[in-house]
Amino acid sequence: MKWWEKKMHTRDTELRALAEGQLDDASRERVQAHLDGCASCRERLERVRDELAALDEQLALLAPGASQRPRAELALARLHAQIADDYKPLAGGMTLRKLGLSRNWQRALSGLAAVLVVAVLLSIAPVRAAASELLSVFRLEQIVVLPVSLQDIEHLESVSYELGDDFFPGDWEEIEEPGEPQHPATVAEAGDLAGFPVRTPSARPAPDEIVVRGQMVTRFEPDLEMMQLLFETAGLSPDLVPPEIDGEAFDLTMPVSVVQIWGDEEEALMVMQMRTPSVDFPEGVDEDALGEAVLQLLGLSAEEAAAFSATIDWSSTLLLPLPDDGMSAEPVVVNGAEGYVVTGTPPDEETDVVYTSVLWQKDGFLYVVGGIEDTATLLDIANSLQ
Amino acid sequence: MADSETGDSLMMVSDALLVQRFREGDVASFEELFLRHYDRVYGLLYRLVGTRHEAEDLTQEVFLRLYRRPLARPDNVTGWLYRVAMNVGYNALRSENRRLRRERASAPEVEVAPSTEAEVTGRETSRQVRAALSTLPPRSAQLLVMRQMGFSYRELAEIVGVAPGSVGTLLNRAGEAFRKAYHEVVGEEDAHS
Repeated sequence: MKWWEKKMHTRDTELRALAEGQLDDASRERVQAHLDGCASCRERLERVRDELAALDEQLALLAPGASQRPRAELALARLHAQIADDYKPLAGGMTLRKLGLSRNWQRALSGLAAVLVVAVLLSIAPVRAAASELLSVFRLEQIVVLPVSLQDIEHLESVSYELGDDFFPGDWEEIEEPGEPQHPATVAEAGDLAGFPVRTPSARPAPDEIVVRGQMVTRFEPDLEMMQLLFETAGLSPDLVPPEIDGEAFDLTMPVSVVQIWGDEEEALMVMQMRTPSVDFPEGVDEDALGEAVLQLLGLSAEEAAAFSATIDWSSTLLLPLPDDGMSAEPVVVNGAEGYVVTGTPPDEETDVVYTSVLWQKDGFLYVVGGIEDTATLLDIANSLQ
Repeated sequence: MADSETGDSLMMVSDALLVQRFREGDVASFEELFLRHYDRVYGLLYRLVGTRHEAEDLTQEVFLRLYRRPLARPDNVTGWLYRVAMNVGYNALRSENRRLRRERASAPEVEVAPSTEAEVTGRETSRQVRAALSTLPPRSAQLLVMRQMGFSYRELAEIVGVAPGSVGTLLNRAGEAFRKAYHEVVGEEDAHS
């Protein structure tokens, strides 16, 4: 050891590391040699020790007590049960796993289960995370498909990885719960339950299963800080987030829906009908600014976002981000209304099955007809609803 | 306390191997990883959120993420696990704090079951400690909590991805920030009561 090393006072960091038993042998010897001859550093060491003890005492309060420690083996069993659950098919053969939804989003979207065929489009978690919830809070009278490149999706995936699955840019709560889904035996009964006449394809036998889900109202309160964190992590300016949205309540209403199902699992044919979903917008929120911000999150440049946004009335548009890899969307006319045919295998999935969905809105209702049938067949079915 | 072997490089290799085997379809390897890390990931999350139920849910979420998308480059599985745990725990903690602030603004707290004074004080203090932690940058909070759990400087360096020499400095800074934040939390609450 050099003489000057012995003389030099010890840094706080080193004193801390010494007190915590975290100095390597060489450093410990050096520090100890200095301490032996330096009363002021010994005093400082005592102070550091006291501070550490106080900190340790406070943080130790947070440790789980004996009754708060679950057994890892039981937790593992629970995890397996959850994994099995994820693969349990829902109506129409879709599974939550297939939709790639994390638990929080699953909860938030549980009322949307009726529009699972629509949600196939959103099967890539980050795309949905970034866009569907934010954008589905707009009034959904128009449907506009926005192709998103695989590269942008990968970028969003890394963002979502960074932030964790449970990240949610604000608070949400169900202010009206849909209750248990009901399973009426006939289409007429379904209509009585739903409170509107249910339309069914003319050339089909009675459906194998009918599911009626109650209305659900979800309140979303964005947190400015979290929204900014989301944007920052995506490499965008946090200033894009309109500050006035902080803590404001966006109430999304998903009205009663009726799903008719023929066949099962992956091969099922589904017809979904629900009143047009709606949203209560907080006063004073700049819809265009919010819309443009989210478009940029989806990978559009500022100019593209502005141009795209200019063509959209945000207060009445449902925007469906669609991976441009393996999925395609074509505008069609169904029952005299404008709609889309969406076809493809979601790139995230293991299945090779090609799903096709026909979506349109008419007379205050949103319809989705979906299955593995080809476009012409599905369009025939869509046009035959009566 | 962390056992001293968990951070050495042999263990890291073996974690990486387990992930690789799991990627190739071996579920038993995933289970081994789970059992190896569960207690400590849970311990971290419990410290952050303070209820068994929520900590269990969040811990499950962390491992589900690993299950659903095992890392393609598993060179620092431990680091990944705790970073993700910290992120999910932190989000939960912050939204919980927001909820509490709202509730406190609107309604007085109701004590459900009678408790001893010591229990009440302990709960109160741990809530304040948690509230103070939630105001720190996540990495600072993570370092403080995990150090208290017994992780060595070297393990911490690997987990948060900094040079081992920096851990002491970061801990010092984090400790300072925590002391300040804690006093602010306590002061603020005294001012309100």
